[in-house]
Amino acid sequence: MMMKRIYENLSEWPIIVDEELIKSVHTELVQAKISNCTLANELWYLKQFMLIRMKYVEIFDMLQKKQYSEAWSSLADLENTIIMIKDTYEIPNIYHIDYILEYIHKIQRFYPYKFFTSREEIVKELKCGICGAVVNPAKSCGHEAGKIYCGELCTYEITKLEFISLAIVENPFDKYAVIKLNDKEHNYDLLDFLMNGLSDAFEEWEYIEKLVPKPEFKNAFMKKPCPCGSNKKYKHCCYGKEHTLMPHIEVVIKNPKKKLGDNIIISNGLWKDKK
Amino acid sequence: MNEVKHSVNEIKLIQDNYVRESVEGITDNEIVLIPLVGFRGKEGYTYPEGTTDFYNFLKIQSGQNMKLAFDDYYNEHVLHNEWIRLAEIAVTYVTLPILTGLIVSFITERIKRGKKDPEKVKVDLSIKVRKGSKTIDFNYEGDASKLEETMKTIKNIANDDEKNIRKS
Repeated sequence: MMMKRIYENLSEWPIIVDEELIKSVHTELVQAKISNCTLANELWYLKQFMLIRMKYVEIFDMLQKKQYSEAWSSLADLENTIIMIKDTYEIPNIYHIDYILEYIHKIQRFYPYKFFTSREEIVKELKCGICGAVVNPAKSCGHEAGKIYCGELCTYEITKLEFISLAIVENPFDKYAVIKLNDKEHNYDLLDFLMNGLSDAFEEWEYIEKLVPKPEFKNAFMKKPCPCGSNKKYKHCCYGKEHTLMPHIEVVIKNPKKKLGDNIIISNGLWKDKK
Repeated sequence: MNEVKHSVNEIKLIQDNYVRESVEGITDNEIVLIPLVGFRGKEGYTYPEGTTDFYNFLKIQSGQNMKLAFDDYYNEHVLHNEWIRLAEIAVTYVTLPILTGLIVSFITERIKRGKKDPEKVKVDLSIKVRKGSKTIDFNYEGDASKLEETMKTIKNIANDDEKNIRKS
């Protein structure tokens, strides 16, 4: 009976968050760990799917409240959780977990976070979260990180570490360490633009990225002076050059419940002066 | 970038004892993972982050005996950015075709799992193929999307070099 309720809940779209059901699953999971490992493993996954779906709705709520920094960390967390689970479980499409992962990546594209810190280090000791053994692939304890053992997730815990250096990178291993500047704040215009057009977490939308002419070059004539001010003719100056173009993102909402704002020019890139 | 570098080297010239003995002793049904010696000037042996996953994958999929060239302590070095870095792999010429196929599967799976754009993912890998007293050493740093053709190139080069080594 409980399983039927869980599967029905996970098949709901839009998501219906049933906190009572999540608590019941947790209680059932605790009992199953003692008596039925197969059931415990299945319940662990189902509980995670319910939590992922609940978390996605919470993050969308944070985004609507413009709590962008907190939402970023939660998106990264959720992304990592989904990727880890996908490694060991064939998730039915009806749960919409892949859909959530796709939208996490889409939303991340609208953030102005392009630079991150990344550690270089030597991990000198890893311990298995299930049995506490020191991790060594050649002398395996039998537990693998990311797998579920009787309703418990196996993770490896770093117990000894030698820090080497810190670097600024564009493609970090993890996305939490966003670089912030003392006298600047991130420019969230693009994300504001997106969020103003969305009404709820379940609206389907796409974006198309392309390069378009900058406004000053849009109506430039070949035989007239170049808009750059060089006094040369446009065709002999900037015509066809890369710097006459700017990135453009077009957002298409499938069945919009409210109107997306008019095209805006997002000024000055990733940062703006602190107010 | 995106080029396979290769060279033929004498095993006896490998400086580190553990690595040299492991390569010398490798048999046709083994895959040996070679550590980096002295990462960033630090003493000791380290494997790239995530080597446990790679080791387990090869162990299950290859049907070969898996070995670490240094297995007293398992240390990992963690580097910046999202490159997929594999531990250096040593095999005999006989096992190379199995290995190349498995490397492609492993990387493809990693990319698929992370829903990453294969055009953007970079890979760093090195393979030592032992033939008698020599090894053909391959290194590839580049796009994951070109991995399949890279592996074909490695097999072709290994074929040609193997004939040359046999002649000499």
